[in-house]
Amino acid sequence: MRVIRRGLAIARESLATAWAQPVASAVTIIMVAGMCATVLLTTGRTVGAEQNVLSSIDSAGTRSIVIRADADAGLDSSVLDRLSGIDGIAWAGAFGPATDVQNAAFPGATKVPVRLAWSSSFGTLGIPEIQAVENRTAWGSAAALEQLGMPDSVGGVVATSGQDLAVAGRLDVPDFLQFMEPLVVVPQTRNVDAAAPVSVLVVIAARPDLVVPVSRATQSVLAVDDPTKVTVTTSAGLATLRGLVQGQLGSFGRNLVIVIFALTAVLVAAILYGLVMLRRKDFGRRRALGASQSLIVGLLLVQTAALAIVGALVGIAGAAAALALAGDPLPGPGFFAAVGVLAIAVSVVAALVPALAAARRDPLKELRVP
Amino acid sequence: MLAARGLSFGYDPAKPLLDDWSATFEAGEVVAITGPSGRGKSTLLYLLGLMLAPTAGGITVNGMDAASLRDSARARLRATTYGFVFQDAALDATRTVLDNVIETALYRDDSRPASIRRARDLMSQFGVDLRANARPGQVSGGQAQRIALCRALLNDPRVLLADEPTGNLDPASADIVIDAFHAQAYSGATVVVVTHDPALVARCDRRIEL
Repeated sequence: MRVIRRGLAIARESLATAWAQPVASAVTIIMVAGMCATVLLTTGRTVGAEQNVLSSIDSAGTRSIVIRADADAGLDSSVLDRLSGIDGIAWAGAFGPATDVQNAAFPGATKVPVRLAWSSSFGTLGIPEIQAVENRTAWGSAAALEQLGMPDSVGGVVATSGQDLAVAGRLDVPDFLQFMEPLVVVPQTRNVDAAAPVSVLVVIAARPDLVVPVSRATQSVLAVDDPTKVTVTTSAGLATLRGLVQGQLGSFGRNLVIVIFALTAVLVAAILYGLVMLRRKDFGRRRALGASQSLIVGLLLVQTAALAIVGALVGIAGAAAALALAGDPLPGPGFFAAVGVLAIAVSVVAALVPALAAARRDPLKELRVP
Repeated sequence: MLAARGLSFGYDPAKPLLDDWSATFEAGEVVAITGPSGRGKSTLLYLLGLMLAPTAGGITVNGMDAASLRDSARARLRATTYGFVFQDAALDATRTVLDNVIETALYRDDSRPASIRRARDLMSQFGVDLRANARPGQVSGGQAQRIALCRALLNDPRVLLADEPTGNLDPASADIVIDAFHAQAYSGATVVVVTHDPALVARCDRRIEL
């Protein structure tokens, strides 16, 4: 209780001192705000651009592994059950051999390939997990539905084998499935006892750096009759490029942050030292009247921390507004928070030397300063 | 009670201002320290006030050897047992008069509300209560010294040290300050005053010439 009361008393005195010295306080706030704004307008912009570049690379399928199997290769839908035991897989989908279908209402219309499909999550394709008619409902991409002449995304199709299917809606085609367009799928429930042939297996690794190990693990559970009739295409090269881009841009950003914070810390320390020198009589009086050295240090550090918090908020808000107005990419909230916390920490550390100098002032000498 | 035993001190070791100096200041008395400029009167006061460490000798405060204490303990003793009145009042120009009077409460961990009540009583007693929210730059020299006196008396000090407290005051203001010193001594405190003011010296119980 006593410690809390003392902490509150020190905080109140620090804030009152800061309020009573508006010029010195404003200078400190401006310095810290400038520190944050400089970092965010330089490194923050770089980080935002980096995140955009990486997002673009990721959306192009940096993490995808595509396995194509000939009809007699022996790959079947039970592979998804075996894949479920492998860590590092974000999504997996298996597609059966293509069969042509056409709009049942227009005999002779354009034919579009349809495939049976199995997946760990049909939600990724925008398909509800619960089907109206299990294993008999088709979903088409926008391109496929256009070719089928179904602007309302519903209707009936008939396969060349004579089988009728109901088209229930439009599916979303992620970037990593673009190569299968125009795409019409018939979602299947997974049934190990009734495994069906698979001609295309798509596996998405959780992270780009997992593409190679996930690809190896996937190939080990394919359980095909003839491995020579299976081809594997991975985005390992793209993942490597992504790693290089991330590494180089990240390294540049980190170095820039260190340089800016180091320079600003020196500046903050120099200015705070100057401000302490201007107030040396104040510290001398406090020491003479009974303030301990640790109290003087505490008062200055708490005061600097309070001003730094205000400065960090001002700097971050200003830089975010400037980036948004300029249409530049914004770094994530975590980066903003990290810059703010780092700026406050740097300011407090920079204030330590002036605070120790203030605490060690000779009260007698300072009281005699006119 | 305050006592100095064999006190030595000098900024230049070759020219000591004080050499094996001893004196005892009893509780309840007001003692004037006088002497020509440059003889170390203020230095002696700051030694007695534990702001300077003697090169030799000791200082006893209520029977405790205070000069050998650690810095933090000496600071604590200054905050709790001492009261100081400096020549130029030494007020914080950026804070209000009330803030100045209660400044030392923080150094003692005293309750702020209780300190404010005590400060208002003292300010009323010394006629500066109406200037509580003014800045030191807005009050006269006499008022500033009375405000400094309020600050010094806030903790009801057992040792009150004053450096030329009436140097810049008119006779009426000086009388108020001297009366306050005697009142504090009457309550059992030891009061030591460095002064050139003959009127103040005349009203002290004892005089020590340096």
